[in-house]
Amino acid sequence: MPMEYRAITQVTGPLVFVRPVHAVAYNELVAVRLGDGRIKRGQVLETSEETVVVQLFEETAGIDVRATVRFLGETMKMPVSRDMLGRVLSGAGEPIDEGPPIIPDERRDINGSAINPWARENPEEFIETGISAIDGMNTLVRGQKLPIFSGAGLPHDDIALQIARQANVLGRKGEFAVVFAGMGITSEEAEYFIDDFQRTGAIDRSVVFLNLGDDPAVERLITPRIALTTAEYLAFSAGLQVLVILTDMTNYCEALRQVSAARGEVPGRRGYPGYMYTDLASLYERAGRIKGNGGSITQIPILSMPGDDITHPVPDLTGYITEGQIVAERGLHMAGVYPPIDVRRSLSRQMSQGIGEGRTREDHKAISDQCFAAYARGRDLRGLMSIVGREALSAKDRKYLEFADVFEREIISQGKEERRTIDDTLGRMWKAVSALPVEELTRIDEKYIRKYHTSINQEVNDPGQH
Amino acid sequence: MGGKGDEKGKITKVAGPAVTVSGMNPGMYDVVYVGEERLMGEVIRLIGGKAVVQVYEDTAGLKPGEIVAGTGKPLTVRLGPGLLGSIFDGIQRPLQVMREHHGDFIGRGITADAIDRKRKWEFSPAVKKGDSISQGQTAGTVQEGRLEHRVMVPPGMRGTVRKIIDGSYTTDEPVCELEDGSVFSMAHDWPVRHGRPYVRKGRPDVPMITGQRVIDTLFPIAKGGTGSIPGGFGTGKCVSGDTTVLLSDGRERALDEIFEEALSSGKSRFESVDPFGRREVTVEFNKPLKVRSFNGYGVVESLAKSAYRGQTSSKVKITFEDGSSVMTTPVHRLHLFTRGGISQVYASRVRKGDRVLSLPGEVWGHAGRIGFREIGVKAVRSVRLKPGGPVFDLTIPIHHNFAGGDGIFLHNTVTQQQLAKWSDVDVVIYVGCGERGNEMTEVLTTFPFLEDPRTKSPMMGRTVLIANTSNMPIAAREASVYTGMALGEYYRDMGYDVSLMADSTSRWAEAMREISSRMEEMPGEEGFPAYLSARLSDFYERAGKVETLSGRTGSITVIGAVSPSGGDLSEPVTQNTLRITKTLWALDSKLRERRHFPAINWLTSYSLYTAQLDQWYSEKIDPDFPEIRRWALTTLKKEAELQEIVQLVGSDALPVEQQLLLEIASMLREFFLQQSAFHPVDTYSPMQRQFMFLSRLKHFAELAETAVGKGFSIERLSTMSCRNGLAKLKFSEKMDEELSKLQETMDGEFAEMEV
Repeated sequence: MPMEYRAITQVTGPLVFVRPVHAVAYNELVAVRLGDGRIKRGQVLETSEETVVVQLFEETAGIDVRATVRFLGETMKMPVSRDMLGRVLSGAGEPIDEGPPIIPDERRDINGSAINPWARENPEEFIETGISAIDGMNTLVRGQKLPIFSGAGLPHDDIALQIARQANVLGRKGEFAVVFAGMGITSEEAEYFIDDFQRTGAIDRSVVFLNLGDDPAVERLITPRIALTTAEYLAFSAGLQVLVILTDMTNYCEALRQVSAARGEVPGRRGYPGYMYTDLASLYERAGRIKGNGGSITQIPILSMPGDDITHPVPDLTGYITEGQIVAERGLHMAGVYPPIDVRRSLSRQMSQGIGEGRTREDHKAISDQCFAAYARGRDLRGLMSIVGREALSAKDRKYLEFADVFEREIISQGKEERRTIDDTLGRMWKAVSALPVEELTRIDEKYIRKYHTSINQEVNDPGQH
Repeated sequence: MGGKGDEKGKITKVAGPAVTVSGMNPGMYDVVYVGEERLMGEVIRLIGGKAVVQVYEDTAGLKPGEIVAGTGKPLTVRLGPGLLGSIFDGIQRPLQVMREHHGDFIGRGITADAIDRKRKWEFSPAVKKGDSISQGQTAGTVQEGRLEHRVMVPPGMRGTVRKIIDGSYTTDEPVCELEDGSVFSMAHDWPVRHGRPYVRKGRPDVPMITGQRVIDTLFPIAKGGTGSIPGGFGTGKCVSGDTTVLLSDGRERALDEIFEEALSSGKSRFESVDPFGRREVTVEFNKPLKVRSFNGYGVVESLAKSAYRGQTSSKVKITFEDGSSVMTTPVHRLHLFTRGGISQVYASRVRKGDRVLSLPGEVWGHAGRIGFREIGVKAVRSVRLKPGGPVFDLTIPIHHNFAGGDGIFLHNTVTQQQLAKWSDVDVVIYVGCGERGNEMTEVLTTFPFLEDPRTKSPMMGRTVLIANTSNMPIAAREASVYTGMALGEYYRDMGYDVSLMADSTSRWAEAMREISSRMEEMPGEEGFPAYLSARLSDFYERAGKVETLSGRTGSITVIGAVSPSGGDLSEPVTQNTLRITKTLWALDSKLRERRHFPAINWLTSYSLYTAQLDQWYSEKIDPDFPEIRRWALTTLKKEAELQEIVQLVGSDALPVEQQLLLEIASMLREFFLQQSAFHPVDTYSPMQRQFMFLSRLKHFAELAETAVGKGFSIERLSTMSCRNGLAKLKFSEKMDEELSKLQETMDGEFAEMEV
């Protein structure tokens, strides 16, 4: 039985310094009992024979040197079970939905282990989200981690929900199980998610972890880890397709900075700790597929960019770890486009592996490259037009301008409940591209032009005539 | 080393991967096994009677008081036949074997032999009894896949052969015994942090052919050379018109003043030549200058690190209704209030009556003297084109510009993978250092199925992959580049050409930073350790073309990817790397946005090897090669200059020869430079074809020039079928055939025009 002793020497922010009596393990769990009998939990951050630094998951308010400390003799574990589906849990993994306690199948270390790169299966199965801006232009595949970079006031929650509702792998039965981790979100946001899960029945295949804005900040460091431990169990032991939504990663990073500052560490960019990249990687990398295992984890972290600044350390480091990003754009949102996805800045690094013959369609890569280039050009011209006027543009430029409008209206824009098939999406893209002069379609192989171009019917084109 | 090997000590402190040990006296960089689980670690610091160990695995659960066992040896790699085709982690543990024995996740305390100890190799001796041999000499050979693996006398050994075997043996069994009784086997250990010995370094004078047109033709790298691929290099300079800088120190100060001041007081000074051959100077401030940038929606504060002075061929003077004026480069962007909101517009496109945004108390734009005196919105009275002169800029992290922050890194990776796949070297070492797991998987799953275009054998047979993904222990990440280098040097010493790709060196540097901060070392710039620069140059210096101990010629070409955070190229890893490497393939997010791949910017990239490689190109490809490369580069550079004018007056106002040049340059860009990594034919372009392709383009340009001289319109050219043929040429499987046919079509069509 672990001993309890009074040995607190110093308290700084969420950190408690303890003089140990016996050897304490790195990362070991700690329970601190206050004078009034309340118990606060924490974890060992640094251990030596003289001093142990404990990071509490809760506020240190109420702690004095008379509080007693108990080392629990193990690192943090998460009880996991298939029965967790349909449950709502706190950010520390305790049920908060008035349901029965969870009877664990297993207790797992919340830090997980790295997947052996050789054991990984290449993510290449197309996930049809039913959202054209994603399916057509920035395809999501099973086992990918694709964050949504958003800003305050943008409908990233709706996009995430729509993906969670509609995602399915072509040719496969069964929907995704959803593991949702809310970190430092408002209770309103939390309700919005839970209501939507309940309304659509998705709650039965979801596990929700909630760390709300007024919950201890340090607990935010735990929430994504227990959520991912649960996801790993559901995916690789129970064989489910798991979609993990982590929101809001910016709050997570704030908590990381808070702890780092309290420890007196050398700050990196904007005060965030130098190891933030490694720390984020230890979360984001817990996505993927494993050879010979039917399950998968697909991650959609959501983060809000402070001041819409994409070079801010949180989106910046995230972008270096995740396989692309979906960027929400304020301008489009103002213009009433939903989802306001800026396809120019969005990117899915796994796209080329998830599309093409046998996955989506043979012409997918070519048509999306062409749309991309044409849209980028159209957007540039839009800026120009506002100065020189539409009339000053050449006929060709005007075509591109129209293309950008059509692209936003017919392809990016869609209803929140609208679910488009990939054929529908690609068809819309061909229709838009076909309005451009055919000699402009340099990114598309001729054979696809012959096959899919809506105004060229099965004949070799003579560029001069179009 | 003897007794040291059995030394035991005790853990006194654990802080993440840094573990302090007392009660033993290991050497610096000795390998030790920590705790009951025997986690592997390396001594990185000695203080008094204590040693700090960086542990290569997760340290959760380690306690003070646990045992630490010494080995008396530094971190080594096992070198011998059987390395090719392997996939290792950062400390040479074979991932395939680990999965077989330990499952899908990498647990702790796992060990596995780097080379299969049971496998037998057919050894044929190259020396006989009585021969006198010394280190580096080939004692015999074994066939390792398609490669003749030369078993060398291990470093430090010399003597007369008493016995040499012939036949099938494992890598542990002795193959040769010397008169003094010493023996060696096919495999030996080598400390990774030490360069292997060689006779001398030579001048790299043979290009490494990669099949990527923009690299081989325009910016080649030599075998034995060094190259880097940073994200977004070149963005942020006012000559390229990408930044809008807002000075906000309250005072109104001209940039040239700031620049002059920095020149006299600044820290370091860096001189270069811009894409048009004009001199540029960058000076680093002693203390960062507080500026603010407009990021599209709001103003964010940022720190300017250096000032820049370059040249421009023309400037635009915009005069406002209130009499104030501003001078900028034509491609500098201003923010305009338009019906659609705020938009960015080239200065040259600003027209009378436009409303330009300025913010209270702040100064807009740059170049020469800047003089906004009032605030708010100003109406433009006139816009005038002025002759060029010096322009100034500040280097600050880039806002409103996606720059290097994002996709750069992707295409960086794609480019690296393309290089690893196609380059004409004997052995490829690919170090995925802090890479994404799934991206590494892409490499791991595509390589085994790829065919070497030259030998038609599996690509994996000449490749060693080192995979240390971003969530694997950082200490192993730090070691991984050295592991890769030691393996590379081993094959170099056999007389082979090796290329080593490190992706990404920024992640490597971050591992150094993290370990350094755990040791509570005094941080240098941006928290990186003060020895960052020394470590980087040590690493790149291990590249080179050498004469080996056995008299052969071998080389290691090192290509490092750099991923500057926030796209800020002034950060220390990028800056230190650029100082060392001689080839730069500058990835450009603008090109990425336009889906121009590979997104290598032809104006900002450079190769310092072209001069020493020209002889090779003239002899092996065509005597005209250097000339045709110059033509291509000149055309592209002229295009960039003309674009400045086009922005101002539109392309219709240009003389017809210049319109033609723009047309030719766009053909160069779209047909020749763009290359699809995913198209089966286009993914690899043989050198001879690159030349033929480019010379057809040049031929077209010459014919077109004549035709235009005779009064034919540019539009007419763009509908010719030979132009269309050039466009589709790169996707054609029968390219050689079509190349010659095209020549005829071209001559024919132009001849018809005459009639």
